[in-house]
Amino acid sequence: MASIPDSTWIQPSVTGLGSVLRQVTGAPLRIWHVRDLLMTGLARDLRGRVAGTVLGPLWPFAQPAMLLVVYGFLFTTLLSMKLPGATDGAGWSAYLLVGTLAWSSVAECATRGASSLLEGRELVRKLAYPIELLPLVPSLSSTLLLGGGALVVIVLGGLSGYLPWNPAALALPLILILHLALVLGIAWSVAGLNAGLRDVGQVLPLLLTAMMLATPVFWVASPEVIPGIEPWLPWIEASPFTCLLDAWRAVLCAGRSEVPCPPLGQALATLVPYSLGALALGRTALARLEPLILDEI
Amino acid sequence: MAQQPVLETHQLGKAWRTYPSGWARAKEVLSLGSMQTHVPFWALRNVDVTVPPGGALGVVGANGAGKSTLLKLFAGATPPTEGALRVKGRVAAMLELGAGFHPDLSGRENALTTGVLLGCGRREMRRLTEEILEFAGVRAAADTPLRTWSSGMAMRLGFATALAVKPELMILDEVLAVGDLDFQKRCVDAVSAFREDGGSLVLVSHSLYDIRQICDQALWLQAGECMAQGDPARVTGLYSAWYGDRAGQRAVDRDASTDPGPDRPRITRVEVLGTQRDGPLDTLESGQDLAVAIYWENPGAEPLQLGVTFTRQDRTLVAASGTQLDGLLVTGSSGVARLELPCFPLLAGRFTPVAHLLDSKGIHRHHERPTARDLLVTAGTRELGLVRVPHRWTLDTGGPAAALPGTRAQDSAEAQA
Repeated sequence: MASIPDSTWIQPSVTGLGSVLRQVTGAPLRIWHVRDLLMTGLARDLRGRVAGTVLGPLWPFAQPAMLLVVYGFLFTTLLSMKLPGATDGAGWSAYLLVGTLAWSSVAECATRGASSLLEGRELVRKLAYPIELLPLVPSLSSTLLLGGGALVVIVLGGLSGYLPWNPAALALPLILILHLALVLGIAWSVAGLNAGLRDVGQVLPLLLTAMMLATPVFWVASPEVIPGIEPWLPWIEASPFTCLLDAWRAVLCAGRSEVPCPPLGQALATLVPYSLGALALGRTALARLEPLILDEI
Repeated sequence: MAQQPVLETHQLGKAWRTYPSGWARAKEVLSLGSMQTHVPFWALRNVDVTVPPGGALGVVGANGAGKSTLLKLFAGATPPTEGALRVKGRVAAMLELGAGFHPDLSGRENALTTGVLLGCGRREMRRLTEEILEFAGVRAAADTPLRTWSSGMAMRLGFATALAVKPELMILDEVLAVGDLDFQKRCVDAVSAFREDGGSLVLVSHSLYDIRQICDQALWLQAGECMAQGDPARVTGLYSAWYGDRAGQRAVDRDASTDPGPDRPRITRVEVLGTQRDGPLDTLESGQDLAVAIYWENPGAEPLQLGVTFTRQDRTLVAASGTQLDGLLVTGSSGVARLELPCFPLLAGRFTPVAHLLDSKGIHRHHERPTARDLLVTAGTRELGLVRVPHRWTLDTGGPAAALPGTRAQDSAEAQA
């Protein structure tokens, strides 16, 4: 009387090529099916960030605004650091501001992504929460806040003349999508690895610090600024993080010609393969590790 | 053809992963599972269950028997290692009430989130939220953060939410045993109402009473294996008998029963017989006829008394019959005594029948001998307790309780309850 299990049955998970491919390519559709769950998680994450504060939802906008004021003050009046070919420190401070904002989102997504499965383990264990959503929620909320911060920079920068308005800013939605793809890919892979091997979470802060220092966040990758950097330039330019920051600067700092960055179109085009590659690799890693995670978590 | 079952499993098995060393784990994780270095630890094997629409399956077993693993598989929280399972419709798994609640969010927000987690749309949940808060009786606190709530309130909210999403299958892990008595009663009432509406249920409980009352089939797991399956009264009876046995509380230490030797009065053999002449019996349905045969020798031919006792695992003497009590005396140098016990009234459990040989005054005990094996009594009914007491009800719904003839007021109050 026992029926032969067919495809309507839940069977032992396999991590063969076909199954992984199905998981990776099916991810958008699966996430769309549970969009209500995603929206609820996102709302919860955003609310949780400002829970108990007086300014509440104003904080995500207040922070970049304050950063803009602090950087602006520091580098135009206090420290006389200038970009090559600049007459004042405004360009340098804009360069740093955009680099800091974008990098802190990358670091946040990697860190929160790594702990997301462990923090959400009760949801997975008790309520069968889809594991791919857990790293997606902080990545999405961080990217959204970065978008909000970028809007503040565009508006305030334009009003104050610190970062004159430029049509390149219209590419903001595009760079946000590419940014999300890149950080989500990272979050998916570190989430899977850390759920299986906690050592990954221990190494991650170190890796992120090293990566931050090796990426032109606080320095300019140019022989004019750092003599003797030429042999390393190909490596630095090949880094996905350099491409990401270049693209952000191309979008936000186009109003200041002294800020060194590639033309907008080229910057975005270079970033596309990195973003898509990270997304595919991250989801593949998670798919391969999923049976292990569901047993271990 | 019957409707498709709500839940079906086929040779279902689950092995968790253990690693011989940290390096083995690192190898498996960092190779993304290409190198399989884990050692399987089987938590569950060969489970075949079918829950039809409206059915209720009760799962019993000691700690670590695989019950929670089974529920996790049912809930879809972990994939099987072998075999397969199929679940039809929306499943509300309450492996823990209030799992997934966020302490900083309000009760209303948490109800919404949990409902969505259980598979409801946001729009639908917004509509249901008022209903949930009303049922849980937490409307007054609905907009305060959950950390300011009592744990009982949070549990009520969790339960109310799970009920409100109207699942086809509800999975409950011991949740009927939490909260105060009032909440427990509300839970049981709500579960009954859910079942009357055609909902299916999987219930894990240490309360065998709940399993017998609520479920229409039961599964007993032990060390991941299915020990018994089917009628809840039978399965819970077998389980409680096994459990009492395992607790190490043996009624009689068979090894310590010393034989007094061939020149002293002694019992050579004792066995339990059924009504048919088909040899010794070690399993019996409660209410069946029973006989105990005692083979004895008495070289000195002194007058003797014989007795039979039934002892439960916890050393409770539950029944005793003696020749002295019935005004009889055993004479002769050897013989067989047969004690007949019609309609054996003990309910489900494991009992040890012991034959006793005493002197004529019933003071000195010559020899005690238990049967070779315990007597396992199974009950096909939902009756509770140790014995079935002959009884009769009189229900008077008219006059005052005290006026019931020949009955104490207390009894009639119970009858009306």
